[in-house]
Amino acid sequence: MELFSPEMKRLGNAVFATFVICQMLVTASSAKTLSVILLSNASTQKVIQGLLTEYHQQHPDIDFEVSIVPDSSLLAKLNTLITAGQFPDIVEVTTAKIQNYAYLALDLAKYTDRNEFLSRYLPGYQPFIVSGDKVIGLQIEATANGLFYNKDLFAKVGVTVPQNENEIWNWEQFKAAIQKVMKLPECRMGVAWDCSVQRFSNLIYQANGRWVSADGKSFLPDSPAAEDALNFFRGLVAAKLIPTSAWPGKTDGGMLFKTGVAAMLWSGNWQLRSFISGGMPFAFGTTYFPKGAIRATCPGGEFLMGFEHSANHDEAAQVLLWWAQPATTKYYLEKLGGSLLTPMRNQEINYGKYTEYLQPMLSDLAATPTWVSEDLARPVVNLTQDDVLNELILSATGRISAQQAVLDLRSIGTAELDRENQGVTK
Amino acid sequence: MSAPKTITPANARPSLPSPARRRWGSLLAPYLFLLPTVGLLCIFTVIPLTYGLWMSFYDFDVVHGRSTFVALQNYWRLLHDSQFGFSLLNTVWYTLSVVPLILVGSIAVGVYLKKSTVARVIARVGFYVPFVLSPVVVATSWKWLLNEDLGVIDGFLKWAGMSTVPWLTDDTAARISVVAATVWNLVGFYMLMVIAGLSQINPDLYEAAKIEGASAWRRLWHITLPLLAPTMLLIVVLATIHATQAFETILLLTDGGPAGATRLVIQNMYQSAFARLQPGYGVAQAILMLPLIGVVAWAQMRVFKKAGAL
Repeated sequence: MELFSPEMKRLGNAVFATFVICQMLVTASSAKTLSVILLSNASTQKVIQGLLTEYHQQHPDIDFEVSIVPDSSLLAKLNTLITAGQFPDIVEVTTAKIQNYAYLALDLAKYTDRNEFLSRYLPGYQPFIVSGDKVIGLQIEATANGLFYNKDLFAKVGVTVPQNENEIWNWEQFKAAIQKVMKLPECRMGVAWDCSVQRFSNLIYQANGRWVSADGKSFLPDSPAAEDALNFFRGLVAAKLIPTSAWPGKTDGGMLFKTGVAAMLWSGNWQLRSFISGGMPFAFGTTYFPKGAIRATCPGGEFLMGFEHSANHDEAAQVLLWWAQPATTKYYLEKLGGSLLTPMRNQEINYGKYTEYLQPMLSDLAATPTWVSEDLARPVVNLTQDDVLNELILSATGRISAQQAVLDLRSIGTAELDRENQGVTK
Repeated sequence: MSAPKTITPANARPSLPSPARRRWGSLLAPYLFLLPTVGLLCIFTVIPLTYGLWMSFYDFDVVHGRSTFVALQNYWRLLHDSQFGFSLLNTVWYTLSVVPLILVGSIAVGVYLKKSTVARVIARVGFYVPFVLSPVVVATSWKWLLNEDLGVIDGFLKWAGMSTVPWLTDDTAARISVVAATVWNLVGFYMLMVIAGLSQINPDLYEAAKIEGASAWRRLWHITLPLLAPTMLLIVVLATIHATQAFETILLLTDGGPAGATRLVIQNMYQSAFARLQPGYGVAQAILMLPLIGVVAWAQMRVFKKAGAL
């Protein structure tokens, strides 16, 4: 004899099926998948994804759909998505780009105490993540431009690089030192200097100049400082201390330095990881940037941000706030092995084998005025990069005078500032 | 128990559609066959083109998330944009250099490698390989060949006691370099078209000409080239389109430099749309290129028609 009649069995099956379907519907409606765009970077992308997986484990109702794009394609991808109204939930962006999206950015100040949140970050990095009253993102790692040198070549010629802050070269001493090393037949390049506006900007700031005035209304407000920087740089190029394959050839400075025939490299701390883990055929070290009127370097880094109009902006905000906790930032940086700097105040990071290399860069950062970050964070500096770089190349190669370059640059920047202020192209 | 059904011939035959249905069917059938192609054309060409045209009348401010109707202002701005003018000029010289070189190069290589001996088949593969390489590989390889400080070519020149050439950092040399890289990259593809065209020429014509004592040069000039004219037209049109769309290789090789000397319109568009965040202005440049390319293609066809190639 059967325990249940066929009718009872059918009813039981129907109830079970309904329960399963309801369960699936409830799960489907409560689990949220956040779209995340990360920058293609062999050393960071896996670690970031690892942290997102950890967040998912702590919050099973939140999942992530990650796309990885090269930095060069990020703007194209992001703008296409924004124009189509398909805002991603979380995006990783670099220094130059975060302020472009300030207006559309998710305001983290709506989800947490603004002042407490900002107080976690070093003053030099705060301008990147603040726009008016809004907190438009969080900094996951900090970078600084820095000066690398080939120890073997310097030792052969008997030139000692500055060992502490009291020995820092001025521009002319820096030039003279490279000229000495260049006399060695095996030294074929003086300074492998990345061909980019940001790398040149160090000189503008060292000359105590800035791209945009403090009130944001004029471009290159201090002509003499800009001309000093342009003339000094022109002098380095004219004396063939900077290889033409870098300026204007745009060959990556790191690649040139790795060959062992360049005396120095003017680049950034992110090069350390590949130099140390990849191995170098010569001994290298880092030293302090030379000083012009003042000491300065370009701070930067990478950021995570969300968008006000993204489908899951509330959940995205929670993820961002989780990452902005000092413990998460520290965990992330130490997972990377210590080659990148912390953007946070009072945070002890074990930089491990990178410690001695980072020391001069950290010193340069500490000596850099806060307004440098404010200046670098201006959208106009990023939006005009291509045209500005062309003018810098014309000036560096002696096709136009520094005076003319300043006039041209001012015209390019002013047009963009007008557009920014009016919102309409004239 | 029901009685078995009897199948009569009338029941077995399917009912024929009425004349009216047949008429509608024959009227609709061609359109239904066309639908997939026309649909794809609409989705991937007509709609984006119309959308692009609409975009070009707007100033999209991506930074502030707003757009303003500016009518023809983007086009008016183009007329006064020296950088756009310069890039247009660059596109013209680039096209005028690349297209004839590809045409001559592909015919020369095609004619030489027409016969299918083992060595020539291997050579054909050798010429074709650059075309299937990624533009990144092409550009990176050329960049290291032409690097002024560490490049192979300048290294050889130095070794031979000659002065080096700033291949990528001097305006003229950089222009020559990007043209050389493009021709090297594309000539293999067009060579295959030439070989296909040559296979269509009746070998009896060459036999007859040989008997008449025509030299190889005269056979090429009076038989091969006239009969290859339709293929040549195709090469010219396709190479022109290729040249006006050239982007990745130049971007990676010179990034439009030095100081804009190798910057073509397509890179200008890209910079406007994605670096300056002005998509409306970028699209306006693309729309402006449309009639220009149309006029060039029309002129090419006229020339070939006059020459009897069409």
